[in-house]
Amino acid sequence: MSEIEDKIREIAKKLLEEGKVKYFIGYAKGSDAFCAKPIIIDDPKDVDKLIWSPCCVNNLAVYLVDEIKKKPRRGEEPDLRPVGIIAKACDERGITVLLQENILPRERAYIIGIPCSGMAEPQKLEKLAGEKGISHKAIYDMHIREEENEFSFEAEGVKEALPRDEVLADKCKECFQHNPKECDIVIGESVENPQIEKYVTIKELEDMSLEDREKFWEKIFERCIRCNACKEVCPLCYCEECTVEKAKPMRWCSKSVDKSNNAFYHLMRAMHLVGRCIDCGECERVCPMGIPLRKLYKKLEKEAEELYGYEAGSSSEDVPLFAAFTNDDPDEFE
Amino acid sequence: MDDMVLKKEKLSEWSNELSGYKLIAPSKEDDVVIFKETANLNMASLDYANSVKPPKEVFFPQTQELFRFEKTPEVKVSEGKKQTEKVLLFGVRPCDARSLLILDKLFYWDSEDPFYRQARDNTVIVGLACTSPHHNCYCTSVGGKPYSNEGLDVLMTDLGDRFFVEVITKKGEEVIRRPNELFLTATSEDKTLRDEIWEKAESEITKHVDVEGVHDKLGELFDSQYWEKKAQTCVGCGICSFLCPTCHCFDITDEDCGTCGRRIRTWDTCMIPEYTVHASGYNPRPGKKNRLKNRVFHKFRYFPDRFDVIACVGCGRCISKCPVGIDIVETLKEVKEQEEVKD
Repeated sequence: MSEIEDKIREIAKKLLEEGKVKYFIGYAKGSDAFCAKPIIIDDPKDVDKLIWSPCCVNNLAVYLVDEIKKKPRRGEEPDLRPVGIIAKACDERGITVLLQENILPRERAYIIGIPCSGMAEPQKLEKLAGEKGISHKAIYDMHIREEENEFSFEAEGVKEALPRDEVLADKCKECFQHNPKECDIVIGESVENPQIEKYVTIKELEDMSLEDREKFWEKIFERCIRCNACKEVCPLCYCEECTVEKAKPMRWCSKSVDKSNNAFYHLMRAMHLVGRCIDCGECERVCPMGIPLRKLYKKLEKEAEELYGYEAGSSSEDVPLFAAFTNDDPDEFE
Repeated sequence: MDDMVLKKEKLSEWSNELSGYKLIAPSKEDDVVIFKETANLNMASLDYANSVKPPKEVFFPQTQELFRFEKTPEVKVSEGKKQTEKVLLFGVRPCDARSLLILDKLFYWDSEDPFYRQARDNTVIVGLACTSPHHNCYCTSVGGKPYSNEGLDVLMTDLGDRFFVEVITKKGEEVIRRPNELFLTATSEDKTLRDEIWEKAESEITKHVDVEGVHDKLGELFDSQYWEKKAQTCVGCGICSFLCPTCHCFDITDEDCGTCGRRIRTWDTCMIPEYTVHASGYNPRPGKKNRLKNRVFHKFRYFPDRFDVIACVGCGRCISKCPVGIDIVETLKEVKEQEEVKD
């Protein structure tokens, strides 16, 4: 792990010193040990803040959209240099969708891909730390590492292995593509993609009757507080004005927080993510109310695959699902 | 009233005594603790550092119907429903109880908010002292204690098989009726044990910041470059404000369906651009830096200027739930280290 970290710092330093990138988006140590936080640096002196650990879960591609949306100040020449960005395989798929949809010009990002065989889920780490009775003070100084495919933590002078299965993020357990493709440079060895059975986690829901499924989601959506975190962390939710915010000439979605409007919000989002969601799992990770959003998107991922043989973000050369049409497309409504 | 103890197994019996009250208590759903109506307090989930959503919504619901209107063909307007039933809110943490005193200042300020007032008047708050605070808790830095009774009607402390019960207000007395078998007079051993638990809880709070001087320092930093740097990674969601027990901003919108409709008040957040956008399209807080700065300023400068109290109780929710790890305690420490920006 630390080799990767050193390499990240070295590359970032070089890119920034040579002025090849406008700034660099990476990970820094979070305020507690469980989750690293995104950091944007433009000074080569700051590269030592960059880290690489099993806690680097955030999808940084969301900041590329920020960059593209930036408007230069009046009279100022826009700085069109690329932005350096660290991308795990899932993050890279997000970037690929941005490329496919002509949101991001390829030359605006310098992508540093890191093959990844899974990240730890912050909530699971926190739970485990609680069970192990790690003191609050130690939580801040704790180090979580990956060495030779094993997770471990070090706190208060004690080093202990972390059972991979217990702490691995759910999305990583279902990941079948560990290696980023659309990169300017790759750090680390490529990892073998696992043979996994896709879509097992949604099987239970699929087997439910329509009524039960409706009840399931209704109960869950009722909990939603519409903080919009799911759409704000999503690199592919980049609309200038979201339907839920649109108030002129009319409101499509009331500000009233109830199961009907909440369901509208989530289903609208889901429909807009068919064939686009790359399962980075950020929406589910950040949801304070524990809404299992990945289940919703996973189902749509399955539909896109089964009906059109389409896999989101697999190549920047692919025509986006909604922009493609062939005479062989299934047409159930005929 | 003397201090008392209540055996945990008697929670159910006590609930039955509270027949005139709607009971609201922490409940766990898919690992998410929120305050919910419950039939009996023995169903409350008591194994939590704090609820994900603060209990402020009991007094200031996320969606409040202010009034309904109808044209049939004459115009009829009917007022929104206020909380008329008595409510017993159980298991409130001391930080959240303190937050209500802060919200009082705002909702009772220039004109009294009738919806909030009714809910406050009709609710008895039974607090539960923190026995194992979360690592992001920092109440002791902003004037709180894990066992503070400010804003509470009754304070309970979990002693293991029983609760140590302290009645704070007259309203509290009403729900802890005596004489009966439920509440027994506390012994000096009970009190000693309570003190030990309090002390231990306080010692477990390891997140600290000295807020002295933050107010004045902020005044010097309005134009600082610091905010741009700090807000770079903010994604602009509403988690920090919606989960904040003292955030109270709201929006007022109409839901209309031609000849009828209603006016609602819903939680709003200053972290989104729509919060300040004018009808003309102009936005005085166009960037994330302006919005993040505003939130910090509101809590640690504007609110104290107006009401003489910091609008933060140190519950740590905004730290724990921020998608990108923006930590208010870290921010305050950094603010103190910034250099003044002169015109």
